[in-house]
Order: sequence, then structure tokens, then C-alpha cells
Amino acid sequence: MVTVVHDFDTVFREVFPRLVSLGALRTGRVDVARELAQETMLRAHTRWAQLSTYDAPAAWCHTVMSNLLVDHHRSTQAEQRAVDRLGGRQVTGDGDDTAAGPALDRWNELVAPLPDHQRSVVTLYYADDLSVGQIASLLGTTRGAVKATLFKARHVLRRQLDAEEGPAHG
Amino acid sequence: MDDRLRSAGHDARTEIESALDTETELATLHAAAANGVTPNAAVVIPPVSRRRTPALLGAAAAMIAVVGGAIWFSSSDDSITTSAPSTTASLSTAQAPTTARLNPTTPPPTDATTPVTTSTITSTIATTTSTTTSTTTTSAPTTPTSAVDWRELRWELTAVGRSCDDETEGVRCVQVIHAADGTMITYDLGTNVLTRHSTPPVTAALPDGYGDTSAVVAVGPEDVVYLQADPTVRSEEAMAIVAVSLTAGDAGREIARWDEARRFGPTQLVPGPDGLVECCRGGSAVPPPDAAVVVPWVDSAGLSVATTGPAITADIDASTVTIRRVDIAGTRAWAVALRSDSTLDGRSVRVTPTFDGGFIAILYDADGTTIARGYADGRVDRVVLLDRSTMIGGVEAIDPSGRFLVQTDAGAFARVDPFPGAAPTWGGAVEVDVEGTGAIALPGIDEAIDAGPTWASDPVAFAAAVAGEPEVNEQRTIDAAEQEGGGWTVTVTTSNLFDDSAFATRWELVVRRDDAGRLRFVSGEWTQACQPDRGHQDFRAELCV
Repeated sequence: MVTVVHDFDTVFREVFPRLVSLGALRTGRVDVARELAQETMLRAHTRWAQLSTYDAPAAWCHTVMSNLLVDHHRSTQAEQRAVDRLGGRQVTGDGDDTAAGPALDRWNELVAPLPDHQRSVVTLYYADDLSVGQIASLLGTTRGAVKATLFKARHVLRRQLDAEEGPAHG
Repeated sequence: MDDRLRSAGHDARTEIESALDTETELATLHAAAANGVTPNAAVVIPPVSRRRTPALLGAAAAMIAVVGGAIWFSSSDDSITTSAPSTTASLSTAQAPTTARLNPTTPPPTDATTPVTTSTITSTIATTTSTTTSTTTTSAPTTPTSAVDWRELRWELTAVGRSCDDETEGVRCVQVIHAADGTMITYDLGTNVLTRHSTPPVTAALPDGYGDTSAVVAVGPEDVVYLQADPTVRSEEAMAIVAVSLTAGDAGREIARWDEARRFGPTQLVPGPDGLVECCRGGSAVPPPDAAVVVPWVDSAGLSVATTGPAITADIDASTVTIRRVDIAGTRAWAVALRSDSTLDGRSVRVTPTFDGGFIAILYDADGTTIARGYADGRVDRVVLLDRSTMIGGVEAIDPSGRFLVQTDAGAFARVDPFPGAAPTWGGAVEVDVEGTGAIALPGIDEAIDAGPTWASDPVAFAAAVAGEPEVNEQRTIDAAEQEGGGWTVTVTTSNLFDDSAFATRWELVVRRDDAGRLRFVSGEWTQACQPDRGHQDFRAELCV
């Protein structure tokens, strides 16, 4: 068997932009996504001697990034609950998101009505082109649960898109 | 709508990726690594010792051409092949003009101490085992090699179609699940038709009120199917579980309902001995038998019942998945080694007990979708599927015969046998009086039982060993009914035969324990059901035309 040893920098250049974009679409914030992607790649770097021999070190990176996104989401929720108790502001989207552009703004606008879990599923399905089975595997849930989430989200998104089209078709 | 959403998502991704200065980010990382600090330390990130999180397999497949994972054993020509399955065994049973002798096409080992040599796809370390109350631990090497495409394994299309609603490809398709006896149950999410693929099949059209997101969660005892459905009062937090009968003449009747039993979130409902239980936080892949029941198994009258089949638990630690099986033969355990960087957690493992006293499991780990197969003699086989070939999660169902189903684009599910010929079976010649009474004789089986094979302690494993492994095109069900006064009647039904005359064959074997606790063959009967327009459609000891 021939073992291919991957070069870290090469994998970084290939993986990092994708991690950031998917993270941004799930969190709505490029700055948070960048930081989580950096954290992911730093962890990969520290164990690169082992990862470099894998067929697909990118898979490992995506797993870690996904885990960090879940953790980030939970910590944000906890923070939001604490703020809510004090009658405060909204946590998500409150950062200095200097790298956001019109396309991300448009995406954020589309998925804004969705709860966070639905947003994650919708992002993975429509932006990352993953199948229902892939998403179930990624999120550690069942295909039925993903389908349920996707259907609920689609109902909301359809209403939103129809509302946008309304005046134009007036 | 789908196109617009995809377009918006892709545009946003392109915008973000093109705005990144990857070289600067790379330099930042190298600087941080050199200083031994975490870059962007202001980000809220829990400690590394957080919970183990679910595996991601799909992202790599969707992202990068270099995909794969590991296979913990060497491959072989005879086991990793795509070939039309031989029809020798079961077809001769059905069609032999007089007394038929069955010779399995792939003679498996006949007892627990025989090393497996026919299937070099396996990498196994057999350890000591006994036929009653035993604990068998098997380690597996962790040297990675290449993942395989499922099409490189032995497979055939099933007779079960996989269609999808045109507007929701991949969302509202046919769902398939196996009952404990191996019966396939499908649920067409587009038409709301629930089907038990028995001989003859049983179908039921479910009401629209179950909603667009209804799905089969499990099949319980007594042909009762449990589905998630819209609750009586719609909720964004949970769905209802409904118990629906799939018994002929009663199919489709809602027996019971538990509103908001299926809560959205990090856990899911999985089958336990007494019903559906929440699973799985932390390292428990399959909950212990005493886990709190959320939805009890019920019979047709709505009364609680319990399963009598084998119970499986699975626990994960940093390096191992330990799978334990408790059944009538005792307790067995297998330790499936994980790679050191595994991200597996309890929600990423699905395990099903197999007829032969072992298990088949799917492990959705970071380096691939692993199919693990444990045998009663302590061996463990594993294969990692190429992500692109399975579309990750494309492994739709696992079968107690030790095979799995995958989605295909051919309008039907495919059944894949990753380890043909590896299960311990008797390997002797079965004699069937197909032109007379249909009586079955098993000459020489007592001598084989005297040697203490693993399969001689469990009636289902006994029947599986006698019947031999089904061909990959065949659907196999095995059901054991305890008789009054001792002993069991075990019914083995094999359908979807590659035969234009016989559709299915059935063996009813009567077994009884001897003084040493080993099962002995008492008697057996053969019947068959014919293809349409080729004779009787019920099971009789008559040849088809």
C-alpha cells in the first residue's frame, strides 16, 4: 500500500476557505467563522504528523469545525438566555462583521426567520449541497429528523420568497 | 424555490471565500503554532475535553476529491468482487425434482475454533468463546488502508423500489427498515403507503393527517410499526409517535398515539427491549436495557409487550466501541478498535443483532462510514465505505442477515453483502423431500453439534447455520416461536429468489435442547410459494410450474 503524506499548507489552502464560508453561512458571521476555522486548523496542525497520512485529512477538519460550530451555537444560546433574563440585546449578529458582503447579507436575510437548528440544516442542504443522509450523519441525528426540519424550514422560506415576489408579480 | 436558495447559498460562499486572504491566515496560524497559543483566543470555545461530537463524513465527500478512510484489513479477490450471485443453494432447494442436496457455494467454518480462510477481507483475532454465558473480546488492528466503493462489494438490486417525490428529491423518498425477524418494511413518504414485504405483502395507506414529515422510527413486536407524525396540536418542538398495525386484515389501524414524544434536539428515539428510548448522549451508542421508555411497545390491543429477541448495547470510549449482545445463548462482547483521532459518539452508531449470534453496525466516523460485523465466534470484520459511493448516510438500513441496503439511482435499493461466507454455518447437506411430504433431514448434524459450535445454543442461530447464508439478492427472515412443553419452531423464509418459478421457500425447523443444553434437530418441513401464474401463491409442499 502506498501512503500519501499530505502537506499541511496545501491542505490548509484547500480547506480553510470552505470551512470559513460554511461557518459563516451557519452562524451568519464571517468573523466567528474565521476564528473557528483557525481553531480547527490549529488543532490539525498540532497533530499533523498523524493526520498527514490519512486519505482525507479534510474530513477530520470538517468534523472538528462542525463540533466547534455546535459548541459555539450552544454557548451563544446560553449567553442569549442570560441576556434575555436581563432584558438585553440579541447576541447573534452583534459582532463586528466587517467581512460580510451583499451575498451573505442576502443569505442571512433569507434564513433570518429560521431557528438556529433549521438554519444549519438549510445551509448544509442548499449551500453545501449535502444530502439528507449526509446531514443526518453530520449532525448526529436521524434522516427523519432532518427531513422534518427541512420541511418546516421550507414552509417558512416559501412564505418568505412568495412575499418577496408578491409586489413584483403584483 | 430550491434553485433560488441554492443560488443564494452558493453566491454567499463564493463571496466569502474570494474575500479571504488565505496566505495571511496561514501565516497567522503558523505564528500561533510556533508560539504555542491559540489564534483568535477571544472566540468562545469550550475546552477540548467537551463531549465527543458526532462524526462528519459527508463534508469531505462534498468538498474534496480526496476521500476515503480506512479499512482495517487486507482485501482479497474472492471477497471484494462484484459478481452475479450463484443460485445454487436456495434454488436447488425449491426446484430439485427429488431429494435435493444443498451444498453451500461458499463453505464457511463449521465451528468457533476454525480460522476463517475463505474471506481475506477480514482481519480478525478470534479469542476464546463458549456457547453459554460467554464474554468474547476481539481487538482489531488499526492500520489504515483504502476505503472501498460499495459497488466493489457483493451486491444486487432489491425488489423494493426507491422513488421520490419529484419536487423533493432526497427528502420524500421511500424509507426502508427491517423488523427484528428480517422483514423489510417500507414507507413511501410521497404516497403515505406503508408496506410489509412479506409473502404475501401487506400494505396500508396512512392518513394525510400524519403530515409531510412522517417517517418510520422503528418496528416493534407483533407487526406494529412506530412512526413519527404531526402531533394533535402542531408543535415546533416535537412530533407525535403513532403505533400502527401492519397485520393482514388490520393494516393501517392506529393502535396508540403519544403526542410530542419525539422531541427535536440532540437525542433520538431508538428501540430498546421494552420500547423506544431516548438516545444517545455521551458515549452510549445503544442505551442500556433499563433506559427509561418513552414509548412502550404495544400489541394490537394497545397493551404493553416486550421483545424477546437479543438485546444489544454499545458503549464508546476514546479508543473502542464495545458492543455487547445478550440473548438466549448468553452474553457476548466485541471490542471494535477506533482510530486515535476518532470523533465517534453515541449518535453516530447503529447496531443490529444478526441471526448468527453476532451483530452488524454502522459507525459514522470522521474517516469514513464503517460497516463492522461481529460473529458469535469472536471475530470482527470491518470495511470502510468510500464516502462518495454511499453519499454518507446512503446506507439506508442494516439487515439481521448481516447485509445493508444503500440508495441507488436505479429506482430500487441495492442490498450489499460486505462479508459473504464469513458467518459460522453448519455447511452440511440438507435433504428435502420436495416431491413428497416436504420433510427435511439433516444427516450428520448431530456430530457437528457434538463439537460445540456457537450456533447450537440459540434457535435462530441454529436455523441460520442450517439454512446457510442467503444470496445477496435474497431476503431472509427467521422467526423462532417457543413451543409449549419445550423446544422451538423456527421458521426460515427466503424470498426474492433468482428463479422464474418459485418466489419463496420456507423451512420450519423444530429444535429442542438436550441434557447438555445444546439444541438438537427434531424435525423439519419445507414449503414454497410460487411466482405469479406459476402455481400456488401460498406456502405448500408442492412444486411450482
